[in-house]
Amino acid sequence: MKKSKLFCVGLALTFAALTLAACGERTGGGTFTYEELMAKFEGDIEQNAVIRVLDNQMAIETGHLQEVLDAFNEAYKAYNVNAVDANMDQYVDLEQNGPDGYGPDVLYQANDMLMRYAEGGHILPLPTEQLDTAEIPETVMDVYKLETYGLDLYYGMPVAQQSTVLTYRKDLLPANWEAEWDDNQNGVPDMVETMNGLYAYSKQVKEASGGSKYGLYMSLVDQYFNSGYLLSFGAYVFGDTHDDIGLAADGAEVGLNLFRDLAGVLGSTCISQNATTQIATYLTNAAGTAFCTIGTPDWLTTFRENLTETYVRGGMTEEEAEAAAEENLVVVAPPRLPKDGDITKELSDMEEETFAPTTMGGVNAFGISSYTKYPKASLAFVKFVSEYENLKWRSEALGAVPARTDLAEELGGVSEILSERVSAGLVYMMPSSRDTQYIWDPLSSLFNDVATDNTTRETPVYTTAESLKGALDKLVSDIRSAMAVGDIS
Amino acid sequence: MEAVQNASKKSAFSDYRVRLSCIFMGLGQLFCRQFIKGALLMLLEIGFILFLVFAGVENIIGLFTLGTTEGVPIMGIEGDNSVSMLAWGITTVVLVLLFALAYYANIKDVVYTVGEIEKGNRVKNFFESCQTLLNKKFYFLTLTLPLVFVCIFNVMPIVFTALVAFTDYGGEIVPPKLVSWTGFQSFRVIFTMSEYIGTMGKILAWNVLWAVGSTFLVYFGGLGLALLYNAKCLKWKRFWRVFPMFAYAIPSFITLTGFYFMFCDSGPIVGLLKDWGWVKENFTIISYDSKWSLRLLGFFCCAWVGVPSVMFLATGILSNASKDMYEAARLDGANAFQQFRYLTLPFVLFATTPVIISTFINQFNNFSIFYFLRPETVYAPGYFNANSSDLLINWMYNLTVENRLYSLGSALSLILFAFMALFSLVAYVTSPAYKKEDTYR
Repeated sequence: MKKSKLFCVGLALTFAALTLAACGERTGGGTFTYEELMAKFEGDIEQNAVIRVLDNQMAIETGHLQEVLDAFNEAYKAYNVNAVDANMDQYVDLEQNGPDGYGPDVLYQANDMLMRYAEGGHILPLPTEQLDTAEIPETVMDVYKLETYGLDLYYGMPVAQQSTVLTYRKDLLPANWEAEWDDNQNGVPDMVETMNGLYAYSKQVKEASGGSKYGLYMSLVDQYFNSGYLLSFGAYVFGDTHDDIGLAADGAEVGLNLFRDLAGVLGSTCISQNATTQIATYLTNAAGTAFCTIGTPDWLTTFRENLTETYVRGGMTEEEAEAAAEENLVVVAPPRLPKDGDITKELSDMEEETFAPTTMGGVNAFGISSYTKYPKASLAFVKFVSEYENLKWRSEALGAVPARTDLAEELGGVSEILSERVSAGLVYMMPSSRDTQYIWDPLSSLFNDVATDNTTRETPVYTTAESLKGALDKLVSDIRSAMAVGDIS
Repeated sequence: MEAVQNASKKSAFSDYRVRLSCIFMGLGQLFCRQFIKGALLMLLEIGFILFLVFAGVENIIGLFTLGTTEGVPIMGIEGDNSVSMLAWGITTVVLVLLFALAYYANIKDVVYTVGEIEKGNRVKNFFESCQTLLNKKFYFLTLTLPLVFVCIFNVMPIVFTALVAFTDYGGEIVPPKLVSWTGFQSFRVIFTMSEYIGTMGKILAWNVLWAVGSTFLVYFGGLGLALLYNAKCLKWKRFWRVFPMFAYAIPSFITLTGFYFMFCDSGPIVGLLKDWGWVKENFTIISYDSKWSLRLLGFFCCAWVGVPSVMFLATGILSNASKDMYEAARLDGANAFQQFRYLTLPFVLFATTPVIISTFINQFNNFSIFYFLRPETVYAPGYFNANSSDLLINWMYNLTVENRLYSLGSALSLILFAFMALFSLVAYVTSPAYKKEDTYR
């Protein structure tokens, strides 16, 4: 009797649970027109708005962000708007914090991150007709385009472009470089012009110093910088669909072998993210521990400051040191790669045997959180920072390469180099998709694995094209598994 | 006699005051002339009914549906937040259970009061009841409040984590998207996807080895050190005891970060070994495919961080050991090892079995060791989202924090919990501390 009662109670509870679970059919949010979506930006700026702005660490550390915030608050004092530093980690997760009411109102991020938020509905589409986008190349704008409710909407205001450049110390060039290291007599040192030259020079420096100095110094596990070696030889991230992962495309193994050779000369100390934190010291110290590095152009500001300090400690005046640092730190396009992928050989005809590499690139932009209480004030801030003069201010203060072509031309130097590379299609824009998040860890593991193979591994395994191809196939398989689990979970 | 028999047959619920309290909390107490208590209980029920009407029922429905309207943040449409609905649903269920307990106490109270009235005793007024609670039932008062806090801060988060394992929360399904109940889907993924089951098998085997090895090392290292510092022949004992105290006092993550920099490829240890020519040029301890070198370094670091605490504990326990026993053993001709084997070890083991179990559990879930010794996120061949030195807890971290696969992480934590609970129970029940409870009393 007791058992049957229990059974009845269990049955009733199950029935109640099922009834409750079926309590309502799930509904989506509906569909909206462009006017409806942009309605929140219409009208006067909110009075007494406090907007939290999240910028990158360099903008905060150099004080540039605070200067911009002060200038904005001054310009919009009629509305009593107060833009403040969000004082959050630059990689704050809006997806996680936004729905809970935390997170910034305006945020500066790379396109893969911002567009991941866009796909989840965490940032607002912007009224581009109100923004000055005429001088921004379509390829750059497209990075922030996402089809929503059948409309092509833009979710970020591009501010800076990111890709890879080579920075070297002119004062560390060998005295006889023009005779020994300029085979084609074009006035550009071979070690910064071709990867073969850089490999040979790095090897020479390492051997001469007993391993205490480097020609090239950089992190071998940095996925962003090193993926260029794969992309240059035919690899791509996603094809027309995300089922098509092209990192193991034919030819990519040649690029991976090139990377493996490079790792051999850089050594095991570069197989660490810590190497990235050492770069500024090694490149700018008095001993000249490193001759050059490959990284993003915004590092240049830090390099210049450090080198100036080094020169001042060496006895120069502040002015002399600043001028010397500016002259001696030279930024050039990443070195040309050999067509056959063999960086260990000596080139006989540079033009014929090498090609300009493709590098991974991205576009950093300002976006507005969907959870902001002050969309109009936030938009006013985005407009303010994307004005020509303020973009110029940012570029000069932070070494950022502007997304605007007219400004890049005016600034010249690294901005122009990168802008030209973008125009020539030599910068592979990081896919603006949520799935991009699944490529980074497997890529880092691949570079770790292959770099280890030519440095500390007792019995190297990646000595043939087939084995390298196998490593790339495994990379794709790992990315696919991660994407599959992400879909299931 | 008949009256007594009738009285004994009479049900506790036959009295109208008890029935009234069953219908509505506090009503029976009012009829027993316990006006304040009755009013308070009635207020409690009214409050609970209002809570159910305004939020409770909705919360319970939300627990089952996990939301019906998806939010559109870009239009400022909030929609339902499945995760908070789950949390509120659990909170409401806990409140309902607590209310049910209060209802039961209310009935028990009125039955007792009616019984007292029938016996002809005076009914306690509110202040007398409070005094009884403070004096005779003080244990009840002091244990109830912690119980409530345990429910809020321990039980609810655990239940939340456990329930997440049965949803699709994580990956692309995060608010404003609606989370759904998916039953055992996460467990199926763990046990059927080749990447997961293979990785789990390898990590679990290493995890068990790690937990056993590190517990053994920490426990016997600490005990050995305590015996050494207790030895009569040792001079300047206080001076020597200072050094383990340093290792104990420095936060372990600082120690571990220090160890990483000491043993990494650019660190002094590897550099010196290479300079002296003791190792090959490609020698490394922490690298992409370091397996046993890093694992052994993990054991060493674990001992460094953990031995001092066991040493201090053992020093305290040894100071309580009976000197007469040792004197008797010496007279019987027992040597130093025999004294350790048959006197010291059983005595210390008896006192520290719970410590060994807790050390084992701590070591099984020791997140920091390999998190700090291998700070880079790299995944080894044959492992999915993990490395060869990762423990289950590190893997869980990779899944939940790094890759935001919350439901899979929760499922894994449930498996881990089941394993640990079983081990702890078996270990404790079979330990001398449980079996021979009175030995040293």
